[in-house]
Amino acid sequence: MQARRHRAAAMVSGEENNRVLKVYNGMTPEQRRRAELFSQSSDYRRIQLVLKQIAAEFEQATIEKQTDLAKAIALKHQAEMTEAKRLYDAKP
Amino acid sequence: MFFLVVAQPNVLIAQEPNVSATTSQELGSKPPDHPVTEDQLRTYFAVCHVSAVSRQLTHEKLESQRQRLPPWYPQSVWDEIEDAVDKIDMPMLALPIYRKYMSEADAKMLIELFASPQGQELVENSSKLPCKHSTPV
Repeated sequence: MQARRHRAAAMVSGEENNRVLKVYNGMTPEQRRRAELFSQSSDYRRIQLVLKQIAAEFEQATIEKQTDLAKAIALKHQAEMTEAKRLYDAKP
Repeated sequence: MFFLVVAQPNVLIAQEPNVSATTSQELGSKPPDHPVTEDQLRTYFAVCHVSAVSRQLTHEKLESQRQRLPPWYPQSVWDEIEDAVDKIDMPMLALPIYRKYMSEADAKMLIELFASPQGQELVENSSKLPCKHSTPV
């Protein structure tokens, strides 16, 4: 599973890098200049607040999603887990 | 019994550079008339490497938690949980939240910024920061 995950991560990373290049190569010189100015504008604090709020809500949503998944899987395997624990506890 | 961990990427907040006054919605104001689209958000996540960073951090934490499972805990169950966590569609999960605050115009500017070499440098630097969010489930 670990190796499969690493392969997937590498693949995703390659796809993302291609996407970055595709976006950047599709930008006109004016868009590139605008992006540079955008990063130096005075509205930094305001966008930070917005992004922090988004991050906080996204974190909560992720926690809830993971919790739901874990609970559903645990429920599905409840009998198996109970048996595994019983067998372990029964060992001398 | 379960101690899953959520690892949120710092790229969402830590490295965001300056943004012009025309690009963000005020906190607490109504949602934008033209909110960020799914395609834009997927592109934004891609150029910020959000999913990749998040996945890496999550699995580092999950591995740490796995080592603390009780000895009787079935590995197959844990693997299934990890696999399910792996398959979470992060942009789709985030979309309703982003649509509350981010307009299409916001997203366009942010994507262009983070696709630039300067923006990629910011993303790279921020992704080296340690993740602070770890939550028992």
